[in-house]
Amino acid sequence: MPVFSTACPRNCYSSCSFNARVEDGKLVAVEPHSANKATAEGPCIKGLSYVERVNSKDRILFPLRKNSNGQFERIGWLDALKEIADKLRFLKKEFGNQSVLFYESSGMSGLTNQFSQKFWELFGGATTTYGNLCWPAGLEAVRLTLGENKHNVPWDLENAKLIVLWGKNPAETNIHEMVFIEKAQANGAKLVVVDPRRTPSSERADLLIQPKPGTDAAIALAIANHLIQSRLYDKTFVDKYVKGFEEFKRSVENWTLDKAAEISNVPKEFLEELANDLAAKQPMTLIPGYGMQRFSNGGQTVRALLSLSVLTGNIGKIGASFQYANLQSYIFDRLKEPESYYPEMGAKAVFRRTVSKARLGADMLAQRNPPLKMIWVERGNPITQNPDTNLILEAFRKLDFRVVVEQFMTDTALEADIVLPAKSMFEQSDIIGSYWNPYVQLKPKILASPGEVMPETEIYFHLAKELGFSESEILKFLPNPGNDSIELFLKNELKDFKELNWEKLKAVPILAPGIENIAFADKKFKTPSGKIELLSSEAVQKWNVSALPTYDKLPDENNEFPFFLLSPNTKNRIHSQFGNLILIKQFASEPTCVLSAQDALKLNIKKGDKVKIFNREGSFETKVDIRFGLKTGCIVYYNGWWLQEGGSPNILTIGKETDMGHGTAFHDTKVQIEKIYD
Amino acid sequence: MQQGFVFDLNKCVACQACVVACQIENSTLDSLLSQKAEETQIAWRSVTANNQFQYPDLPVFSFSMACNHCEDAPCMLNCPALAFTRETVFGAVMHHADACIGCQYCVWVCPYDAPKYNPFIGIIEKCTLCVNRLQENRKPACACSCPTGALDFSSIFLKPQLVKGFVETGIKPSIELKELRNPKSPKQEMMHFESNEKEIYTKLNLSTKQKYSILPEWPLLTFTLFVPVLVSGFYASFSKGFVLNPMVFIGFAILAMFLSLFHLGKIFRAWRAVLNVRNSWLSREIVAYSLFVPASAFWLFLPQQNELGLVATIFGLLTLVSIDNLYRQIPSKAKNKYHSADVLFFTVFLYVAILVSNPWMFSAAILIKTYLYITRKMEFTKQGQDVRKTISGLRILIGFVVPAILVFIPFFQYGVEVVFIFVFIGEFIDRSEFYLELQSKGIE
Repeated sequence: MPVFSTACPRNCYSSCSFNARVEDGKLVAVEPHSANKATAEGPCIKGLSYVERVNSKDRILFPLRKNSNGQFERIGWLDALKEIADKLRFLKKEFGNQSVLFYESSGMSGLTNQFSQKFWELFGGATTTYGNLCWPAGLEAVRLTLGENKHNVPWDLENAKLIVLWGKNPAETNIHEMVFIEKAQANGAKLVVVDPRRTPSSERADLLIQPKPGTDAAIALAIANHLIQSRLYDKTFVDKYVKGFEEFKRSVENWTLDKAAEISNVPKEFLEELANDLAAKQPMTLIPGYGMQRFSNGGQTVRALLSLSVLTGNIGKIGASFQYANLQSYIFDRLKEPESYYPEMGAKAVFRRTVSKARLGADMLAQRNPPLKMIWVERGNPITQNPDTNLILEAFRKLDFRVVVEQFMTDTALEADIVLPAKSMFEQSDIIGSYWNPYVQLKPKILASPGEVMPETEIYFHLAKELGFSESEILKFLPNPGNDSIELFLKNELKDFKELNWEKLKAVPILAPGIENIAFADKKFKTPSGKIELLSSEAVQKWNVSALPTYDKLPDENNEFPFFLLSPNTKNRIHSQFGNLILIKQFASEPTCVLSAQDALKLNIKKGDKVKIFNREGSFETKVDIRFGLKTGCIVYYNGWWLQEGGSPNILTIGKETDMGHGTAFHDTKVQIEKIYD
Repeated sequence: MQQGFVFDLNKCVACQACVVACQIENSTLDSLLSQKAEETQIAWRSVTANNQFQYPDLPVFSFSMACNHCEDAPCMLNCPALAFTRETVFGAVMHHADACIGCQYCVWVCPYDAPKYNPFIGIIEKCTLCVNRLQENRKPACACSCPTGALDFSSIFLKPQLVKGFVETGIKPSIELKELRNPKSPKQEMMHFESNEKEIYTKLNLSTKQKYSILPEWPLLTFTLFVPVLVSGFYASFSKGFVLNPMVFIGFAILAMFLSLFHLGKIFRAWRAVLNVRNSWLSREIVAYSLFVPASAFWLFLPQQNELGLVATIFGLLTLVSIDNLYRQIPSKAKNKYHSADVLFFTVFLYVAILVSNPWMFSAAILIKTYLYITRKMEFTKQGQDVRKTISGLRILIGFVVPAILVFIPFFQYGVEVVFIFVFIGEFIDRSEFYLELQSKGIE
């Protein structure tokens, strides 16, 4: 039975290497790949469930067209491409190229994704988006402070004596990190978790600090002040490598632990304990998650957190790291995140980047000269995943024409006029990096495309022909159909790196060339000053925030609604992917909202009760689940549920950007809950 | 050194990868993808969480459990159809689908809930230790696929495992458990509640207990209700000349047997139930009953044959002893094994006493039975289990108090039949409760 080395291209920290077992042309098993030191024990349930996902009876295998009754009917590729080409020609002539919105998201990573944008260049341009739904506020915070986003290799975590998981739940979102945390604990490390929820990651922790959402920066600044005032910070490190310490010191001098305890609603002695641990336990690794920066104060919050690693000298040492994102394996990118989310548009640019991912619905509706007439969606499910679902639906339905490239009938696909079948990860070769493990990984084509599935590169090739472009012109932008030309392209990308070799990559993942096991060990920081910048003038110029890390109170606009809506990820999905599979549904068959036991008692709501959750953005009904471990004043509704399954949390979220990096401030959202009596 | 599962409680985060890996490995792709997969997918391995609602100051931890391939496997010992065998190289307990009659007795006797009844195919399924993989020098799929390394398969020490949450019944499970280094929950904020834990759980409708129904057990319920009536009827007739209509007797005897068949997933394989007379009380029960019915029927037609009557009585008693012993094999949290188990034996005493109108025997039987019933309920109270106060009261009233009043207060001149019916209704409640309790046994 042939076994192939491959890697999971989902938007996930772990990006596991795994072995794919193929029998009679079908994927039959997914097995661990020990050559990747970060994910050696094997993939999670999502990775395992590829066996179902690629073979699923629900997969879209043919182009589909919505008929006048709103039903999807199978059509031939020729008809599909002809209709799309006719529409594109018409819109180009009547309204201009930029009446077409090209929307892509993080559904599958890989170098071949760049050809999608190439096609729209060939077409003569389009409107596209800027920003990102996930992590740019934190990326920008780290970039402003340290100059670039990198951290120690995952297995270095074993060496830490203090680990602070701040708003991260790796047990569900980065399960392999738990291996190294457990090893560190077995060696005597202390684990502190800061999270409004009690999560599987906090279960083996020594201390769980549960702040009111959005107040993390207050805690960090107060602890920073405590460390400075008590002279418990690393003076040698700070003197040598840090810019703006004095200014920072002055700016935090009023931040007492009492004040932070009051704002964050955390017992003061817990803050004291964390402060004392930070002073006493070396080396320390601080691991912030992404949820805590999806607030309108998210970037400044991450800068405040990072100040703790800086003050205690826990940067660039064994076991000491600020593990936000490790982009060291993104060696092929000319422009790295977060800057790639808002590239400089030259005067001659054919793309109009005026639609923010965070405000997708509002910005789509707001476009003029030309207004938007058509959308092309690939690798994304914006109806459920971008904030303010109702507004996005309105914007979608206002368009003349919608094309969605998808593997399954998602909520976004349901809105399409034409759905084109999307490839699975096994049906085209590609190369991926990861933002946590430091490997360059090849995922080869190992399965024939089922039905009439075509990779996007080929869809675009045929569409370009249909649009009347000559083959020689097309080939300047796109590869020839067939996997050979893709492999040729990939091999060409590798040629600048002598460490990377195609044959070897086919067998094992390879550590990224130039990888630093201990990031910033050389104490070189690519900031304007070459130092760690607690004081950043770039922050002021670019984002109009304070030059120093601050705690910015969340805006009051939504305070009429008492509950914070937290929409974290679960082990069962990557955003809206995988939840539709039988293997996954057995663990979560229907959505529920989680309420704290104290709030439930107060509201007289029981487990299993039907409730309405609502705010000004929208409302939906769901069932209640209850946890004692959840901070009061929070309602948890997991990210990724489809409207078809009962409701996406984004029906309620606000379309709003973070303070920096053009991220999305999902978690500013507040809601009310009401029991429904049948 | 023996090989077995190694499970480290410090490492498990309840990710369910072991469950999914097992399902993929052990179902062919087609059945996994079939239209009915959603209903028919049975998980042989399961991850159970302790304190799933995160009550403060109690840790949340999980066990991943499938079959532990115990050295003294009760499933194998007790299976009436000899559907289990021991695979000799790796020591796996193997279940054979073609031999299984779907009686589910193994589900009851296993303390780890390893045998899983698949109602769609009417038989048991269970972990095979992935013997096929072991032969290729590959670990079982679950152990191979654990992303945190919490579940492994390697050489183990077999020793009594005194780990919180794990049932140790001395049957030598092939699993080595690594205990929590820190058995405490993380230090977290104090929570103030006005009522106690139990009240809050009730108020919030938080119950980890599944809802059980007596309905699926109706064939066994009718059988175990009928058998004591038949045996006592016969004995009363044999010893004291109680008048019993042979045709009615035979009719009920055959009906009881017939109805009990509906408990089996594979009715047409019912004959296999007698294959394990050597070890299984279930086989013995069926053999004894199958001999009791013709023997007693013959005697009813030939009442002068005393030897025949004696033989029938012995088979009748053997049937009852078998049934009582059969249920005694089921692991229970109760220390006192004289629960419902011996009740059938004493039930016959009670019935006979009524039928032959012997007040001394009646008094003794009803006192013993009341005592057993109350001790059983008291033990439940101690363990914090559901006692069902109203139903218990009803059972005592209808089954014990009313018959006693009817018998001993001469003012009531009711016949034997009325007393008998009251006792019978009491027994009906008792047996129903008993089967519900059986379903909720197992690991906490």
